[in-house]
Amino acid sequence: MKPTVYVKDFSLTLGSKEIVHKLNFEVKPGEVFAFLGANGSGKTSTIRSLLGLYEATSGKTHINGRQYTAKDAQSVGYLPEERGLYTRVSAIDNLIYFGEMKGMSRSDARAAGMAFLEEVGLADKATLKLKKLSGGQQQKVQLGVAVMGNPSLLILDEPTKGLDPVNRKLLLDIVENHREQGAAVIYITHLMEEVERLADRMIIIKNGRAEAYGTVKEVKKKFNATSIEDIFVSIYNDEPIKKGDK
Amino acid sequence: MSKLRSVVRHEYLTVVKQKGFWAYMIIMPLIFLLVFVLIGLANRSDNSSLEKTANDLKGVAVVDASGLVSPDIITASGQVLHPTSEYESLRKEVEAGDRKGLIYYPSDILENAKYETFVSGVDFVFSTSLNQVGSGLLQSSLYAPLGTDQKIILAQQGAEGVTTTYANGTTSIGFTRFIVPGAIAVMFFIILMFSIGYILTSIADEKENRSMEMALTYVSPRTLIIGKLVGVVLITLTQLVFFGLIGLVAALIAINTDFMKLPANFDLSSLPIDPVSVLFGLGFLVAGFVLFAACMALIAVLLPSKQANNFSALFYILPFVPAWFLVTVLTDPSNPVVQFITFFPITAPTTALVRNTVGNMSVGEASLSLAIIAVTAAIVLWLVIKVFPKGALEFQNALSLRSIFSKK
Repeated sequence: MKPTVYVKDFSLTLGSKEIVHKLNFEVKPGEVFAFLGANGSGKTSTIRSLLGLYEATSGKTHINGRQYTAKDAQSVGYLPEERGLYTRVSAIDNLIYFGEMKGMSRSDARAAGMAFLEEVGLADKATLKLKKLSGGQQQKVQLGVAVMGNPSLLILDEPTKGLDPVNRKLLLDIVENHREQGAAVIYITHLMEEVERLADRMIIIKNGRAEAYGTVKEVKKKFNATSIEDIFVSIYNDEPIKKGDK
Repeated sequence: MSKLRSVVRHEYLTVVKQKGFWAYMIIMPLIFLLVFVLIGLANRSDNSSLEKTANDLKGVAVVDASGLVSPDIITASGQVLHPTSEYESLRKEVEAGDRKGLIYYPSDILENAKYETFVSGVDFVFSTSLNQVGSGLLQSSLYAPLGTDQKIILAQQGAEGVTTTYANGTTSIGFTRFIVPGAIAVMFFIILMFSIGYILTSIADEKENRSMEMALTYVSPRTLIIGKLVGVVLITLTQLVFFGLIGLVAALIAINTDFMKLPANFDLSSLPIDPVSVLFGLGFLVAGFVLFAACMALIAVLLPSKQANNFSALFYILPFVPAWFLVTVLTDPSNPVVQFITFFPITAPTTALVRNTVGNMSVGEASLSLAIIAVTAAIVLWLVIKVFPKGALEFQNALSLRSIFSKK
């Protein structure tokens, strides 16, 4: 099976600073890939390079076998960390606009947008300007933008940040649903229990370099640990995992 | 192409669906209208005040010790001539407030060229008018030997020069030839004041609310920036049509209520149109619009939102530089300052439009100025598209020169 995402020897230097060094990973269809690292470790820069927003200094960052451009918009759904939509525009108009950006017709985008708002319980707020919605409601609309058109790759950067448990469960269900439909999901989070619940494979990067990579089971075995959190802390503290943490 | 259409529609509808957009467009002309009405009312008030002053002047006493002022002219003007012997008592009456005013022509007026006026109370208008009456009576009396009233009036007031302008082999009323290029210049100033800022707001908003990264994931920077520019063009056209309709209605009302009077022989259908000045005017309008819109986009991309808003003030101030030198621009086009602002890109559109309106710009100068504006606009636009992906994702800091010219 061809990987949806193929990153090979990818390095990125911005200004005089090397952000990412010789990174390698793949994400296959139908899997959730946890992309982990502390703040400033190079996760967002890697994703931006994958999406053509930054140009790789060297190496390959391919989606579906080639460098991504806006022409391939229908294949990607992206929920960035620095997220936001058009607050002076209604929820449904936001969804329609981004649906069109992904190559959908206006009517299809409207239908898909309304279907999503129904699914997340926001149908009655479809015509309200986004700024009238709560933070959690806005976040759901943003997820709607990402999943519009059933893309083959979903990139979700801390998608549950700021959500209450009910809406968090709803969002995770939506992610799992897309995985079951065959989408590849790059899932960035600082919440390790979400990784434990969702992830099939994972990578942990530190200072732009891969420190752990493989299936969740493989990584745990390699680090002789029972939890991802222990592995993460061990990598960032440069300490071996204590016996009591196993 | 469909993405560009979607971006344009989004940019246009996001602005025109806002209540604030229409409120601003309605309130601004209303403020101008209010000022216009207040000026009109003040003028009417001035007129009634002048009528009162004129009545006061009719009772004014005149004492002529010089023997130069004609008694008939004093009587015809409505003032009252008194013997020289009454001068002191009349002056005391004014001093006591029993008489409004007194004009006194002393016997040595030929040597000193001075006469005196006495006014009761602090009344600037009456005092000024009394001096004018004093001068008028003296001048009229001195002109009297010329003979007929017409000769005296002609000698005093001079004659009006009537200019016949020949343009492209036809005769036209002088000022009408300024109307079409002048309207283009006015349109540009309206665009500058009302429309150019929308592109800055659009980009700054997307950076501020972090929607930019989402947008750039699905649409290329070139499509996004062109879509924004076209959106602003449509917004501008909407504003021009709206203001045009308001202006038309206001003009019709003003003409029908005699608030405004057109020249007696004014005929809209025979409005002279000089194709060269109209074409250059439209050229300056379009190239100037693209230049300022691109400049606004550039600063919105390079700087964080608040800094961008502050810095944008420069592009509202510099275009008005020709207004500071308006007389020189109109009368001395070869002046080095006028030449500089005609060819300096940011001041060129407005200066060239003003000069194009009054027709003191050669085809060579106009072509060079237009070329400078167009080339600068193209360079700035290219720069916007080049730095857009970098600057658009730089939410907190200004983009450094190094990163502008480095690889993306």
